[in-house]
Amino acid sequence: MGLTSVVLMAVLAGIPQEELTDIPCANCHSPNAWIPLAPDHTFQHNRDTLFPLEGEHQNAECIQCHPGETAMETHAFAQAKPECSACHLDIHQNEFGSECGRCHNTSDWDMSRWNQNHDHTIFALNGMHASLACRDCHGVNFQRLAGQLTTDCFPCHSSQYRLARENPDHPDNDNCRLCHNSRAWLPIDMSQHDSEFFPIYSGSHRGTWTTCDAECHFDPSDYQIFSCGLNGVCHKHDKTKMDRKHRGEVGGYSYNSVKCYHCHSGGRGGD
Amino acid sequence: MKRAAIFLSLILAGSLWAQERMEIKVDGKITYITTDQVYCDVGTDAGVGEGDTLRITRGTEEVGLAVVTYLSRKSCVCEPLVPAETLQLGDRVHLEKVKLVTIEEVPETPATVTTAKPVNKKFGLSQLGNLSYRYTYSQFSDSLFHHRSIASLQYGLHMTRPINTQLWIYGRSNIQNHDFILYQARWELGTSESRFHTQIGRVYSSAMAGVGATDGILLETSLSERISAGLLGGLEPDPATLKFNSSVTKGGVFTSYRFRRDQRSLEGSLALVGQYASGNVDREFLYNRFRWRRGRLLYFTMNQTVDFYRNGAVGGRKGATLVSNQLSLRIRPLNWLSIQSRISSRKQVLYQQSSRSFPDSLFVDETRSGWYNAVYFNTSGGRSYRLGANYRFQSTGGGNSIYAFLGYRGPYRREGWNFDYTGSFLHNLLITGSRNQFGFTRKVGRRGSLFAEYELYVYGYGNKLADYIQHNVTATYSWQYRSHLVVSTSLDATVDKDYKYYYLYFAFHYRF
Repeated sequence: MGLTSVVLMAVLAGIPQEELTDIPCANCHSPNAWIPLAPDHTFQHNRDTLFPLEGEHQNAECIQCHPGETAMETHAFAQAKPECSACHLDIHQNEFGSECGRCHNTSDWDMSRWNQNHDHTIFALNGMHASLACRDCHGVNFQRLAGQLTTDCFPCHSSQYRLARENPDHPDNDNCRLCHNSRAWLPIDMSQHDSEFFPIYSGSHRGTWTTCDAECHFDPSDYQIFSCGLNGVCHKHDKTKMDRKHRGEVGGYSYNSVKCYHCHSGGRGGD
Repeated sequence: MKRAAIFLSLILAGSLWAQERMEIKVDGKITYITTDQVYCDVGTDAGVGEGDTLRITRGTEEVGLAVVTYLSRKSCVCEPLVPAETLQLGDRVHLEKVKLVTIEEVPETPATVTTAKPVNKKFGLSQLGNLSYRYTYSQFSDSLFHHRSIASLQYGLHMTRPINTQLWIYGRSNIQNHDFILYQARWELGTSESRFHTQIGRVYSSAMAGVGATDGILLETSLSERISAGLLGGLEPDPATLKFNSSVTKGGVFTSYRFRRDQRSLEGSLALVGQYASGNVDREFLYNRFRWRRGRLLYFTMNQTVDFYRNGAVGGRKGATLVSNQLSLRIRPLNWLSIQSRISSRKQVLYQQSSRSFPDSLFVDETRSGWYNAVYFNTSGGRSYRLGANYRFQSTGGGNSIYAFLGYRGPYRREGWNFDYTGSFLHNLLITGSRNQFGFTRKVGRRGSLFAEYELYVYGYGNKLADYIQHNVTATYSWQYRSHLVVSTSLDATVDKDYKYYYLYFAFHYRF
């Protein structure tokens, strides 16, 4: 019966099966009728091809991607190009490359959830940045593309930057994201402190401080100055013991916070 | 007046009778049924014409009528005048008509693979197009909002006699700003498969996609079945608005190649392009496009742009600089397993004369790179799983980011529920977070479909993982009338402890 079906289908196609495709006819067609395809056909586009059908592609008619009027043309599956530009007009003229999926998705070409796709870039859009329109950063016709935009805050927040530079109380620091985050410019957020300076949200210092200038940065006009709280303020070290332990073993040692930090930047005594 | 009308009618009737009268009888059967169309095994060879009404019978009973909407030589597509579900495969179709033909028979329209609709057989005229309108509204808490209306038109007119020629237009307008961007407007003589191919206007070719928009002329000739070469010349439109601009001239040469054997193919193109402003070099570059395919096992693509600085150092660059590079490989070693890997890097293009370079860029020589990997598993039950990671890196600023994801999609059921899930983790310059998305699609009625998704997004700044939680709900409803009209609307609501974000989308697309 199986062989009869295959022969019958090859005859129905009008040309030898092997000239059409290497997929056996019976994977798609049934001996009852050439079309429509057998409802329980064993061919699965997602499994058997390099192009899984997801989102709106599931609603496409076969002939939209495999066009033709003859059996030979419609069965030339290998000729179908998996590139988006084979079916979708690239109005960006390849300026973004050929991988449209970095911004668009198969559920909606119109990018209704484009800010999620931005996760793939080096600059995820969170907080207030999620409210931006594409053109706010990339320009009217996307003339500022990836590689032409910086991830630095300055190009967009130049006015805040200038105000900060003119403010004598503002720390002399060009790296905005050390203190500000994308949810709001104020209040400041020091979440980057762990990775950039010293772990205060994790490790042994977590939960041991109240405000920046209460325990560590006693001079609020200059946050580069800090104290480890030696001599019992925070760390109950004995200077004599520390001197005996470090002298001779640690070059340039002296009993002060800056020198402690040079070796113990991870916040652990054994560093 | 009345006499004149009768006289004119008689003359017209006489001229009709002078034509040859041919009776056409066609019998065939229904071979395929969709929700709103039926396919029959009779076409132009049998004498069927567009607009003919076919009589459908089952045994001795007449079960309905169907109007022919699209034709090929051996088959036709019809719109039934009765509900399609009342029809069955194998139902017979009949046509009886009288056709008046002139002595000089109009030759048959050559078969084309395009789905363009014929509008005039004498000149082999056919057209296709798409008219779209989209409206989006977004509101951030109670104050900040954006809204915009975009209308776009894509139109193609194709003539096959006496010459093979095409007209293509694609433009888009932001209705609120009263602007209009013309992406394509060109007249073509021949096609890329012809011995000679000419484009005039805002020329475009997929093989030359990396060259960008050009207002001018493109000439291409086939040197052999596998290799063609051509010239490109014209003006560079304004990069921001794509309006005509005469300040930058552009010229180039290119070659395309294609080799196919069995399931293997290799194709690509190479273009050398120069742009000049006021007699000075603005930009000179090479664009390389390469595709290699080996059946379903392997597909490799390469897109590269190399800029040349022959007048000394520009922005710290000398000689040849790889400005963009994208390599992509997909392999499917087993039926149930496919692997994709893509490496890309991009630098800013530096224009030496025009003002296109971003003037306040702090990272002129920065390279952004990315390495994307994904593995897809498919089960025989139609379920699919995907697992991947995307690592991105920038050469200055010390930044890098990682994005990892895990996805599941249930078996596709045309009439039932279709579920999917995606979980992702990201860590970059600013944040560390994770998204969990649960969604489904379902057909609604004969013509509608619904997509809905819930997302839980948890993130924190720096190394902190869960300072902020966002809930997002998205629902999209699409309604399609035959293959011509698609209307869709989408509502997206995000709730955060500090703000709410709403996004409303409405669109219609009319294809003709």
